[in-house]
Amino acid sequence: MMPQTRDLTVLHLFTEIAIVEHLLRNRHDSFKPANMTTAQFGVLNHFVRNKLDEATLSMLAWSFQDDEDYMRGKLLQLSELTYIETSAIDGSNSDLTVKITKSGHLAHARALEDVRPDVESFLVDLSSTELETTVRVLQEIRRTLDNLPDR
Amino acid sequence: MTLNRWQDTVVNLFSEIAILETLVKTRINDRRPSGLDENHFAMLNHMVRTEGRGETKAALSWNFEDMCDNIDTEIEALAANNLIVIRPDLANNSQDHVMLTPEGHDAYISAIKTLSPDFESLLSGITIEDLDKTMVTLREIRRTLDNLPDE
Repeated sequence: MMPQTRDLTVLHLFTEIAIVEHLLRNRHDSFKPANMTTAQFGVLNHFVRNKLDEATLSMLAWSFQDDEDYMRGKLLQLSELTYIETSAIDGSNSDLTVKITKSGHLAHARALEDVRPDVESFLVDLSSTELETTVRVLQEIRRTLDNLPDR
Repeated sequence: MTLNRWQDTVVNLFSEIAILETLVKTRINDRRPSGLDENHFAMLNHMVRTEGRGETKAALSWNFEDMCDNIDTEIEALAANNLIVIRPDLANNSQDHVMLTPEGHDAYISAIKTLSPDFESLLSGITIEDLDKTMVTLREIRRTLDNLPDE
């Protein structure tokens, strides 16, 4: 028996999301705006978007669904670029406090401006209303998904 | 430091896409519907969406923007479970065609049924009009990205 139309709609939506994410990631990684990979930019973006000055390695790993060693590697690279600062947490063997630096904020803004001409070229036919509706719908789905059991 | 409206919309749009992609991927890997991980599910999904027409490994590699070795590994795993079949192209000895088997199609349908309860909750509260607009926007972005020259 074929799946229900609604299931197929969700599947088509996620397929589009997966393809767009993949294309954007490859494009970003080939540009390396502000000298950052998509993974590194994603960490700075997390701070800026959520208006955070400080987080912990363990919370970042959870947010990105990464293992802590992988997140530690990304943080080390960002720290070498002086975009973040890390410090040990008293009483924890491995967790770290992570702070975004002023140069991290500037690098995030610079990366956005670096990609702006490219991004504008592929968003040119879309109105701000269409983009805002898309953001709202994706946010709603993401929030539901984020709150499903097992997250 | 705050983002201007353009930056805010683009950051939100691409962040939501990236987060959703991760959440869905993780969910599929946790559930392993029909024993499929996200890569295998994506391969079957692609084959069903392209209506099971055979594709060469090179074409699959191009479509997934992945290296031939990685695609080979996935194909071999799926073929070992009889979910796809690799057939030589009689007109071109250097090209093998990869085809979906009936068992592969059944595994795909069964996987969607496993994921169906999650899917149902994701769209509650979203109007069909907003969902359509979102699909159109994502498709538009994907098609433009797909046709941009490589950097």
